[in-house]
Amino acid sequence: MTESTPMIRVEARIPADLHAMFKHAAKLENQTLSEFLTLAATQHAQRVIAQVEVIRFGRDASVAFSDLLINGRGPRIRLADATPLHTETFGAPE
Amino acid sequence: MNPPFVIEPLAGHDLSQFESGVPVGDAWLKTSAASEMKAGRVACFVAVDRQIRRVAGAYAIALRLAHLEGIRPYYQTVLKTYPYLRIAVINHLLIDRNAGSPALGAAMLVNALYRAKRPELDVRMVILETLQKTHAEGFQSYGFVPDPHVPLRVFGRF
Repeated sequence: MTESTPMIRVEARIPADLHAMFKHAAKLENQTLSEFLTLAATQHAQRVIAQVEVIRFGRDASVAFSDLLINGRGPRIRLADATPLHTETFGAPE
Repeated sequence: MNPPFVIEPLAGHDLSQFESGVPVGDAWLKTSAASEMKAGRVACFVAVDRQIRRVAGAYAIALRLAHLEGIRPYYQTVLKTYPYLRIAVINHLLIDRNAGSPALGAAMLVNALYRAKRPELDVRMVILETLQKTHAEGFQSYGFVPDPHVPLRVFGRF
């Protein structure tokens, strides 16, 4: 973030005991509550983004994908047909 | 009678004897799978022979966001999450040469698909990345269709 980055206010209603805990933790880190929550949320957001990776599909693959998914062209995965095989090998699917 | 195999998350299993016949897959399982699991990039599961506690098969599954582009406007409105779509990617499906169960690979795929189909994941499609052309062709009998642009990849919808 730079000084020119526009700032917006985020509000959240949280239980009083959580608020007290966050405030205490922020004090221990010598941060304001706002700084503490922003840092914690940023770190969590970075972890989530890193874990849920994005695979980019080109135009042709995207069209093939959407045709299959939305227009219903092509088969569905026949999971029910294969369930007995799973049960024989590993037991019933969870 | 108990089923012959049990599925377990990879966690310190002895993989020294494991040999699927696909060297690149074996190398990944033995050297990278655990660290990729630890980093949260994939979940790796192994099929363990109940009697001798030996790893007989493995697969990896990961949640990803597919970023689509250029699809028809109508589809864009139907697909609420456009341009993103939650998908599951299944890969490194490996069966040990000495597993003694010709259908183990198919059973492991079914296990992976049940995992991907859990409602809380909201996965609409599955991509299966195979390591051999014959595998990619074989999985089409389960309702997967070949990716026209990637030879060893098939995808399917629930």
